[in-house]
Amino acid sequence: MYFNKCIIALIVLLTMQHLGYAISVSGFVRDAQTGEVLIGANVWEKSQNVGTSTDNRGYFNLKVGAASEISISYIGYKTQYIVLKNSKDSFINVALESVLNLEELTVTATREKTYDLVRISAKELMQIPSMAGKPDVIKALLLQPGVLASSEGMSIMMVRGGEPGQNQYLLDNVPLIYVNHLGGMFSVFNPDMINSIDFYKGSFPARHGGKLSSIVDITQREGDISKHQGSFSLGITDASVAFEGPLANKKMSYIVTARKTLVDALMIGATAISDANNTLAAYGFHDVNAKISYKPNNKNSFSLNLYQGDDYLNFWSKPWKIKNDERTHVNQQWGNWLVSGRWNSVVSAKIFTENIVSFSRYRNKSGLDFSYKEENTIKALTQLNRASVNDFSLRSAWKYSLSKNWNITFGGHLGFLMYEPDYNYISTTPTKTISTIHQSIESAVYVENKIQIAPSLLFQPSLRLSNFNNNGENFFELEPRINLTYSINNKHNVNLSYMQVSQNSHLVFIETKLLKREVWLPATNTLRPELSDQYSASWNGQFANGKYSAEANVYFKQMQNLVTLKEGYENMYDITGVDNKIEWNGRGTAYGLECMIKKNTGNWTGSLAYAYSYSNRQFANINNGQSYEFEYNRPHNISLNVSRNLGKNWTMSAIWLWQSGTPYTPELGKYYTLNYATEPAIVILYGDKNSSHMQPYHRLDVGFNHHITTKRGNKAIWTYSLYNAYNRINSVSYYLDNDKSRDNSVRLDRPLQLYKTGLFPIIPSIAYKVYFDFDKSKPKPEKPQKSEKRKFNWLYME
Amino acid sequence: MFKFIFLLFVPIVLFGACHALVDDEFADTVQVPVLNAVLQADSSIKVHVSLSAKLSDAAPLFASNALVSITDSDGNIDTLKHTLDGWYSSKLVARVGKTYTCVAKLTGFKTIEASTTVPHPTVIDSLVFTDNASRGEEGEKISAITFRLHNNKAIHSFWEIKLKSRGMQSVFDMDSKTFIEEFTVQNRYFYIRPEQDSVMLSEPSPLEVFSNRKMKGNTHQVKLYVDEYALRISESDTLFIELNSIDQSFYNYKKSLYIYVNSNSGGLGSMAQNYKLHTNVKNGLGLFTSTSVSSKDFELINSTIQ
Repeated sequence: MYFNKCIIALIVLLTMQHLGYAISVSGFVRDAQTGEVLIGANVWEKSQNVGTSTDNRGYFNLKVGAASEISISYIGYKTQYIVLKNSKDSFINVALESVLNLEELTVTATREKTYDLVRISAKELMQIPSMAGKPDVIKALLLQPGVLASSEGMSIMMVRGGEPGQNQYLLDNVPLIYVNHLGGMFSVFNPDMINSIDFYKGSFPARHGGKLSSIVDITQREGDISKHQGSFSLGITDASVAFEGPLANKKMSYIVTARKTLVDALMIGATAISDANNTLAAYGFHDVNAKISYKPNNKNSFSLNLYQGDDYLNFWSKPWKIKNDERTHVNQQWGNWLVSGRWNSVVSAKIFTENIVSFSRYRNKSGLDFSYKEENTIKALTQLNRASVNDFSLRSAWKYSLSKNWNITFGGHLGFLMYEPDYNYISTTPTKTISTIHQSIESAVYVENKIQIAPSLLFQPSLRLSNFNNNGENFFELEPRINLTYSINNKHNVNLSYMQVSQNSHLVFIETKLLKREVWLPATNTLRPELSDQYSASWNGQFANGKYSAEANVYFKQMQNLVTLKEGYENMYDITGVDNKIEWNGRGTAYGLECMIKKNTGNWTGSLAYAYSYSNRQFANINNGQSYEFEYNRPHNISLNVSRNLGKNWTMSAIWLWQSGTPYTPELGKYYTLNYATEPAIVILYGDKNSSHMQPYHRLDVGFNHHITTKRGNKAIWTYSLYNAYNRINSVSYYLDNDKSRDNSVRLDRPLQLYKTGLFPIIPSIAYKVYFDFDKSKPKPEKPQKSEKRKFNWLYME
Repeated sequence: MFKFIFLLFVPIVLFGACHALVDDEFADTVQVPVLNAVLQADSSIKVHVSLSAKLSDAAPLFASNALVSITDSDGNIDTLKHTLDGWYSSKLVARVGKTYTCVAKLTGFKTIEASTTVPHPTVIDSLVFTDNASRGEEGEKISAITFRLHNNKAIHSFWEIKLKSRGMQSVFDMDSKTFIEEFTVQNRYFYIRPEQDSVMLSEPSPLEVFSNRKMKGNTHQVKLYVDEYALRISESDTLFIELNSIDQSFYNYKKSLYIYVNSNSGGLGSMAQNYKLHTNVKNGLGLFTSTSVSSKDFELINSTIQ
């Protein structure tokens, strides 16, 4: 293994040679109206057939010959052409005008080739129908081939046979540790804040590391630089607001978004009038994003970013039913804090740098406050159980254009982390507090090379060196990544890639008094860092001048040092050291085929995807040491996603999913055992672990958007959606029962039948979103002309 | 109008669980013989033989016409006699240190076979009862029971531990429809504190069974806690610690039984995970195992018992 790494490292070094010289053109591409950066915009020099695309800061760097003409294009915007008249390195800021009529667009076939990367714009995100009528980032990613949800309705995703804890979620390049609301039903990412989502299933750039299976790189918006505006939306789950606008003579911009559930008060009211128990109950979540961006000049920008989001579940004794002053409050609260500061600078036409300082904190805590009166004395008990991670990090990334055919990105990361996986406090015990704190330092340096060896051959050798020190235990990893792309012509490309990744923290799901808790455990000499090697081969192509595109990928992935809870453990109470309840040194293998066809333009747009996948696990003490199918593996997956402009300001979108059922351990029969006593008792005979699959899962979601103008002249959208439109009962679990009534306990001495439990029947939902333009002087309640309606211009979406 | 109808429709359909019969065709399960026995040291041997059944069947059938024999490590052979409901009795008495192999033949099935070696009882001493050792989370009195068990590091040893009471109890007699006094033995709940015993708390079935896998010396101190509710007994009752030395099959079976029982009772959001029970019966199902019991009585006063 080390020999292979050394060979790859040697290749990286040998290829670092000067390959040519030209002038360097760099700059940013932005929306001319709002000032938002345009991510993935194509920058192309036709005569020399060279090009690139903007990164997630809107930045590009291109080497061209003197007196070149470059074109800058982005879907939904007018293409701009810039002629370079001198032979000096140039820096340009490009502002693209959006076009109102999509039919005017030409999709260029010269987009930069990207593999194992899915880029979802805010517009695409908004078009996907969802359960609560509001778009969701992770639900959108779940439509991609090779991505699976843990179960019905959940936003906990598994990528290419990986674990839920192997996905890295970045908000403006800063990791967010916990990404779900309502136990995974919704993700924490507010779509109002999103500019673009880059999603890597493999071939991670060397700048990304620390998680084995995927990178979800979310670029947040900076706020409209031209005017103050906002929006308010209301759905069945939550209400949300967004404000944005310019500050300080348009050198600064701000954007603030917030969401809050509406069910909290309803739940308190419902439990208050219920006679079923003496408890009030409430669940809720909120999240707040805020960002201020400052651009003192064209070459420098600063931003300050804040995120805070929490979920909370509370139970209280009903005050009017209290006896003996006995009061109880049980609660669980979980979520993140994230604060980051970023400085981007174009040092020269060849060098661009981004530097970030960040702090994020995840904690999941459950508590009990109990008090009662005994002989005129108040006796009290307080319990607190908490799992937390604090991460203070510094990141620096540099892009350098070495020559016409060679670009380098390099940088480093230094993180100070504090893991506290199992803090326990009980006020009435002598020791009161039991906790183990892990102080860790995570560091990495990397270099990415992008070398155009020949006009049709792109070679991208990269290397990442990572180090993790946890309470004195040190782990060093060399992570080579190689990517080779051959362009058959300017529309069809094939790609081969290899990557190795390490992960220094392990995620386990622990039962608590109320809900499951995500607990992160740092790597130790026992729970060693997780490792994966992934090989993939891809083809992508475009047809009919870009109207259709298609891609196919095959991959093979091996994972080492996986962890899981030992069988039988449901919680971490009564335990001396987390290590004692963890099964470690697990291995996993995953392989599969992913295909996708997309229709990119026209009234009908959409995609059809198919994926075949297989993934297994092997632990020494599970299933007698034999490998078994990964519990979330669904071999066959089909997803169909269509959108249509219906005219008269109506759009429609629909998703149809078909997936193989999840594996389960089948019930085969029943027999006698000497159960608790020495008398025979009937037990169920189960088959091998995960040796059967449940019934296939399929579901149709349909959504309609109706764009209107309010009487005050504000633009607004009504969203109507149907989740599970044909009311399919998709099984999340199987159980045995004597009959369907579920009234009586199950009698094993009587005939048994297998039943399935589904979570969500057909769910209709409605959401309303209205946009405000605070700079509008006098709103005119005039009816727009029919033709104008068809050319409706979205605030964010065009 | 559309909006109005839609808004009316929303509250009608609420979030709720759905249940339905799984109408898939399942392959017929192959019926196999089942053998069960727990041999107690110095007790006569009894084994239970039955047949497994399909899910759609009623109770599995007892096997009354099996040919069951037992051979011990000294070469003694006995053919067991069917008594009632699948139970077969032997003239042999289980002896500590001996290995017993049971073979059962049923017409139309493969011969099933299983073996067990009766473990040596474990010496327990230095039992200390502390009446008022601590206070619980709700202010209740916590008592402590400490004792020492003797360990042979050279061999893998396995135990089952129980806190029990014995005495006369009022029980309802279904025949006479009255309460009658009857001698009973009851299990009492106890627990171990998190920081105290890495040997016992490293087992997946907490406090039920444990091994000497993590024991470092020739003795091991066990400290159990019990709250005042679990120690409410009548004056005539006797409390005692029972330490069963068990073989590895019984240990594996108990671990699997713990998971079997608990895996379907996960919290909100957890999925039921079925779990196969351990068996040591070749060509069949069930458990053929043995135990030796050691016990120590104590009273509810601060005391030390050797």
